[in-house]
Amino acid sequence: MRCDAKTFAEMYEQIYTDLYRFALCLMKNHQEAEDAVSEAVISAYENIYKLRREEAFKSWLFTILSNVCKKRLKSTAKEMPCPDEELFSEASVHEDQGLALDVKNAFFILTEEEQMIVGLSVFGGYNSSEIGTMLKLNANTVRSKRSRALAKMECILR
Amino acid sequence: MNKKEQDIVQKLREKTNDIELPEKLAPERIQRTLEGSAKKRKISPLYIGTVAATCFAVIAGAAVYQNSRICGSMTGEAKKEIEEISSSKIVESAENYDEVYTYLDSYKREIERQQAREEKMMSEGAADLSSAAASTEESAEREIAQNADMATEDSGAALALNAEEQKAGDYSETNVRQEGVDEGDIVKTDGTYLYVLRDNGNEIAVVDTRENDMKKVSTISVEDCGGIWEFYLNPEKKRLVLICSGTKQGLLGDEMYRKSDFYQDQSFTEAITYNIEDPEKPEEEGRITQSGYYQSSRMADGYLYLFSNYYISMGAMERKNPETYVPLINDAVIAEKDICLPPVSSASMYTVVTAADIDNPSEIKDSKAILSKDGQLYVSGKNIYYYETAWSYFMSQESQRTTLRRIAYKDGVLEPGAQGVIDGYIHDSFSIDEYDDYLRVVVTDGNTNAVYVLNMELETVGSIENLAKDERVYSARLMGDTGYFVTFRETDPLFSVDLSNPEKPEIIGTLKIPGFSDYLHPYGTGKLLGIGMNVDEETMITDGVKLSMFDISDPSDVREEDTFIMKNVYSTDASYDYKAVLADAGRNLIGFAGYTEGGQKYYIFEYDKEAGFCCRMEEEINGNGMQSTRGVYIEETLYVVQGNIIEAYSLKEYTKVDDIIL
Repeated sequence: MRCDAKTFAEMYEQIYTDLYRFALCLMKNHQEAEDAVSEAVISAYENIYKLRREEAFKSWLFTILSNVCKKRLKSTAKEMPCPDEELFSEASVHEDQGLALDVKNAFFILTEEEQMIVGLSVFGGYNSSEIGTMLKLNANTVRSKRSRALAKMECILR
Repeated sequence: MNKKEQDIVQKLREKTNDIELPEKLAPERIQRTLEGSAKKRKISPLYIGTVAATCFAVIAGAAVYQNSRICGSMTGEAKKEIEEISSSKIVESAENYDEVYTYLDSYKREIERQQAREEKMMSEGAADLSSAAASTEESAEREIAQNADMATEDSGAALALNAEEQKAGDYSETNVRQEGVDEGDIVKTDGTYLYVLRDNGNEIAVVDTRENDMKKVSTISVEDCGGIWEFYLNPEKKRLVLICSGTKQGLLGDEMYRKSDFYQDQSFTEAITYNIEDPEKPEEEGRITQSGYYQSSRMADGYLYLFSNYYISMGAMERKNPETYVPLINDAVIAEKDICLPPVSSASMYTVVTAADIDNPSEIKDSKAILSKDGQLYVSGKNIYYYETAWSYFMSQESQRTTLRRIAYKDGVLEPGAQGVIDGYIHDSFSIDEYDDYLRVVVTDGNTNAVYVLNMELETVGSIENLAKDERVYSARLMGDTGYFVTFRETDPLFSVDLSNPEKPEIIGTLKIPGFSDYLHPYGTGKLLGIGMNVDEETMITDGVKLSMFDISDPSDVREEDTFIMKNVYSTDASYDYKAVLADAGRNLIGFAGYTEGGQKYYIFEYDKEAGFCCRMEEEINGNGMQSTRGVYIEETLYVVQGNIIEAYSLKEYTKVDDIIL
């Protein structure tokens, strides 16, 4: 589809709170989340002509954002030799803007893929087939992983 | 999700509800950022401008079982993903539905086994999948990026060997990939009336253009059709064919459906034919319908060929009920013998193709369901080529293999023919071309490029490999015995290849110039027009749209005869939508819309051997719609159509003569 910055911003307005919350839960840091959303938005805008239907805008942006987060997490992981411990301690020290500590910790104990699946369920409102399409997993896998992830999170959420 | 799980999700929602949003992400700020960013693009030679944009063809949530990712072993070493490709030389048809079911079921089981393996690894505490998964994930990401690259509508344009022979007609036609094979579009004309798809996607406005005074005389509107994507106009037969596609109503908003993971693909594509003998009173003559979202279509010799993509929901398959895994045409399950089995073991969708005579528009004359992983198509004057690419990655080296299937067509009859395989992937359908019973293909393979010549059995008879290392194909035009293609890294090498001996294709020239062309169009005898971007060689940032005219009268010594850089124009629709280009060497007219800081403008250029490019018109476009702008002419009037506004200009004085809001 063809779309100028104004139209794009209007479509973006409908979904950006969910996009940011999704990114924040994955990146655990407001600056990182902000950067991820910006990068995803610019990439989406440059490629908007590849999108054929306006209805698909939301899933499309969520898919791009998941990939951006994945990429950024990977490069963060490379910088830290012992990612899990470091992140955990960092998490408990800094009270980050907005994200409740128990929510943050609940996401921390998940694998990256589980975080994506839970994030897309919570903030995107997608079902397992849709998430499967976005993450290139099959729907049954998504279901079992989601179920396991939520069970783990339940122990931490207050 | 069970109740408990839903509660946790709800809790997470509530707990994140009050998160403050950064000001930088506010929609107004984003709008300003985007307005600035669109003007300059940083070019990287291999993965241009794409982080990971995936194009969602079917969004409604079909359970797509794709890209079976086989993770590495426990030690984390990357394992080569090997996809078995059938060595069969012909397109195989199914004998019965059971055979199709068995095929799909075995793929489903393979996915389940793989899943079990993954879960086992997880539970054994091999939680660090990162090194093994990294390469697959990275490659998945790249695949997405590449697919997005290729997702732009297939195929491209008239093979006008000698454009002088093309008569300067009274009115323009859609710029198509293959001469003689028409393609649908959003604006068409018969020389008197303009037919325009309105921006709401549900109506065609019919506009009488006589006496330079546009009048809307009728509207064709359809309900319950999901939306009009494109349409055809056949002035001889006085027929207009609408191509509609969508998802069956009532289901999309339905809660039950939203929650169901066993959702079956409910999308459909329809072709509705109207009699337009009296354009003021169009009458419906009939319609055909088939499963799946619209992919593409063609019209040749009064027959429509309609392609749609139908995804199989593996969770919903039942052996005894073919309608749970086989697409429908005119509400009946497609016949067993019309299902073409795939060359690979991981197919999870069909491309459904039906043919209909537009004189008999309710009847499907022939049909095929091509079982595949997801392919693209190119339609020559005689054959439909369906191609799909398998990607593999080994030690961070990526390589691709593309399988090709040929289905011959004539007067609405589809005849499956040969099947073959080549290395590499095909950039777009300008890179694949049939001529004189040979198929010529330009591919990018890993980090090099190649040219292949195949016979009608799809066996490779000639090739040139290892071209332009670390570059990839940006555009191509294969014209009879000579082909041209552009690869890009820092400068734009335009390769000329001699294809006159199919067994010995030969590179006969390379021309290096700054920037790149991403659309090539033959422009009269011995001339090739390139539309692309100029790139600053130091910063690798695009700094404006570039027009090039190549002198190809001696293919072994191609010269760039003239260039024109539009510094203030940061992109054009021509780069990805060839139908947006109006190029007519007979009338000496090059028209397209460009994006500038001041909004979208329409440009008309003339070309003269001595004087070079000359901009005759630069006019603001006042409409604002979802689709790219079209410029069409009728005699001496140019009509620029954008959204619901048509603006008319004299092609003599280049002044505005009329406009209309639809």
